[in-house]
Amino acid sequence: MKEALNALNSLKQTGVIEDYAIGGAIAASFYIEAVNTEDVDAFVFMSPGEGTLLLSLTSIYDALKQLGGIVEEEYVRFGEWPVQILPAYEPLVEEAVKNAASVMYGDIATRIFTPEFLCAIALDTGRLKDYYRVASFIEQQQVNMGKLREMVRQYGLEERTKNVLNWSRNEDR
Amino acid sequence: MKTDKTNQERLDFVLKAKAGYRSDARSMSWEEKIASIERMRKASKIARAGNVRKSA
Repeated sequence: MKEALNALNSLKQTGVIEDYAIGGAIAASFYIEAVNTEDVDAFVFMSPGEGTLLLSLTSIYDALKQLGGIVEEEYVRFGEWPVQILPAYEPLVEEAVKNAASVMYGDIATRIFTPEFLCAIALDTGRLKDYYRVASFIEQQQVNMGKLREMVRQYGLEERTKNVLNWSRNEDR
Repeated sequence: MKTDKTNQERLDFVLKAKAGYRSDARSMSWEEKIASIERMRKASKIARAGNVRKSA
């Protein structure tokens, strides 16, 4: 994991990307009980290359290879950890990267999504495991429900909350 | 195995053990949790390999 985080920090320091934040199960595990996952989701901000409006991940993959990463299908593996690079592709994810929390993994500084953004993105993604993640945040009291409800309204996710078993039990929080 | 315990006592024991496990799991540092995920990944890889051998 340390190699992966060092590589992501290096991408930012060398200007290959503007910024990044970790999302998904790895970020969630900072706040709640760990659950199994196969990869590290790294959401990145990047500018289009000169003379184009299209975003290309090629420069990121090239830089990660130079940092010792091994490209395997859509992942770049560092040690045991495949890293998936995901461009911040919509307003919700852009805001999540902008508002990410700075945390330490041992002696390495990194950025992870806040609990509220992790839950809002999980609702937006809408797989069974995503709803379970939101329920876990609520059950373990690791999310500010006021802030999350605000985001749910802002991003039109109200319908999705019906799939979170303990959502309505927390109306007062 | 026969014990003198009632069903209620057994249930209390299981609930206490489970609460203890959850409390331990939540009190881990992030690094410890990532190490735990790494162990889960290894275990599921082994389990998958086992399934492949059985079905082959």
